[in-house]
Amino acid sequence: MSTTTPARPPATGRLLPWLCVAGMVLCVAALPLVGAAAPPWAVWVLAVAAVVLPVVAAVLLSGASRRDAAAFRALLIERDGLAAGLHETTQALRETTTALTVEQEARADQRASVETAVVALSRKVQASAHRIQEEAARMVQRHSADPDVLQTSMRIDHAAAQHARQAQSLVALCGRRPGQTWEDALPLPDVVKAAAGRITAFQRVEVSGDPGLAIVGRAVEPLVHVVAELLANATQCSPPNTQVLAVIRQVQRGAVIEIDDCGVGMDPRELSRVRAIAAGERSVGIAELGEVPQTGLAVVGTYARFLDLRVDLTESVYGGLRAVVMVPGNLTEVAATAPAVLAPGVDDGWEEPAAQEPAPDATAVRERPPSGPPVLPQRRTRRAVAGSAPAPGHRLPPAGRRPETSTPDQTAEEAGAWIGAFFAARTDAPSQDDPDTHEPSVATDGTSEDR
Amino acid sequence: MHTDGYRDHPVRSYVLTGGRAHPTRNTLRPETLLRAVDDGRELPGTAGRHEQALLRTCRGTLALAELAAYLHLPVSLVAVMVSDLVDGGYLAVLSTPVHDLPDTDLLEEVLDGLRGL
Repeated sequence: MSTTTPARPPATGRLLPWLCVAGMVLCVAALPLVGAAAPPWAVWVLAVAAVVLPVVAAVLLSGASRRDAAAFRALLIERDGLAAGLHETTQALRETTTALTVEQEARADQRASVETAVVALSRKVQASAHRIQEEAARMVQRHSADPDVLQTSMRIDHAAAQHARQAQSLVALCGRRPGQTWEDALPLPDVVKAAAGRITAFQRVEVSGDPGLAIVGRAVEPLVHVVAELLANATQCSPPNTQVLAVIRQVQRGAVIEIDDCGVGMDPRELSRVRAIAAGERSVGIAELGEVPQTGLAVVGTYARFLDLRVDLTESVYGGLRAVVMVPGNLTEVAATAPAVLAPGVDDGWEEPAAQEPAPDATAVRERPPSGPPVLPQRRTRRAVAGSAPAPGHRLPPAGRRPETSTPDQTAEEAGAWIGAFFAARTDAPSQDDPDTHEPSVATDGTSEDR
Repeated sequence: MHTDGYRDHPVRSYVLTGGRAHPTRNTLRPETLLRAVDDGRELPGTAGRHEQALLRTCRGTLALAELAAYLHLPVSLVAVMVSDLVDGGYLAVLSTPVHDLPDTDLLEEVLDGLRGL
């Protein structure tokens, strides 16, 4: 480091002049003491020493100070050099940081644009899957009495439902909300049934428990997807001849869905890893999926964060895994007793007669004496209904919730009572009651399929 | 989601029937009359809201096609659910003996009478 190596150690350089000064003082002090007793040469020697020694000291001191100054200058140069180096390094560091930030921003932009593209494509795929489901439903409606058509439609519907789920998983992995939404609340058992419909082995899912709670509309789709992924894991990780049990309970702070499989479970280290993913503590994006993508629990975690669900995976008492989903109370409501709509379907223009009439008339019909014959339902073509449809932009009301004007003055009970009365009157002659009109096969209760 | 009469629903039809599209009994026709058996028996716990809704709708006497229309479901799907409930003894099939059908004149008279209402 140091470029100047002094000839002597600095201590000696400082000590010698001071020794010389001390010698001079001694010589001057000794001169009066020596006096005349001493030989004259000694006096001379002392005198010369007293004169020479300060000169030597001065020479030595100036040499030392010269060396110090030189060392100081060298140090200054070295300091300047180091400062310049530091400056250069700082500059380089700053440039690198800037470049890195730019690079990171570019990467983030690139990733965001890739994710946007993936989301857009996935939504298209999902929409086309739903279109397939719609076409399948229309096919059944056209051949509504043919079980073979229903069978084909079910297979198509099932395949398309899984297709749509995978597409929606991709959207979730990009951190976006599901594309499909539902307006109406869905009872919890139906949430599990809806979820079961999206996995391959839906027949192995057994739902039990109905606390009379429903999930509010905005949370239906994410929760159905969460349960579908958990059911998919459960059915894949357990033998194909075993059931997957989904139990629904009401708890103080909402509702709980427990899903048990009868598989072999998971080793503790792996379990703690997937628990963190499923609970939403560890976010797994589309870039972190790896070569063998396991999307299910990553999707569960994403939606758990969206909805504030508490998801946990533990060892099941059945030997496999138990997935527990706690749905907070703000996402649940009391379920309506009568479901408006049971399953997908196509309305083919079925309307109550009062639907096309003004409201006062409808009430007049309702106020008829109960003994009077109710009005029979009529079928109208969709075109006629569309012609009398309300203002443009107002979509047709969902079939389950008719507008007030079409208050069903002809309910199923009334229609049933009417037909029942008709047949009772027909069979009036043989007997007032109609026990003989029951098909004999009714007596074979219990021998048939256990429900 | 209501486009041109199509109503989507999260619960798919194949889940309701466990994937079966063929009813357990082949005697069910769209015009077959059905009535819920009111013997005070509760449906088993495994029966879902769908079976309960079906029975509730069918408290009077309804034809299979009517029942399907009230439930807004395809006839073939309702036939599978109905035949399960008939097997379980929760629904009764009312026989419609062919030889006992009124002749066309009577039916026309009834039709005229209905129109006159």
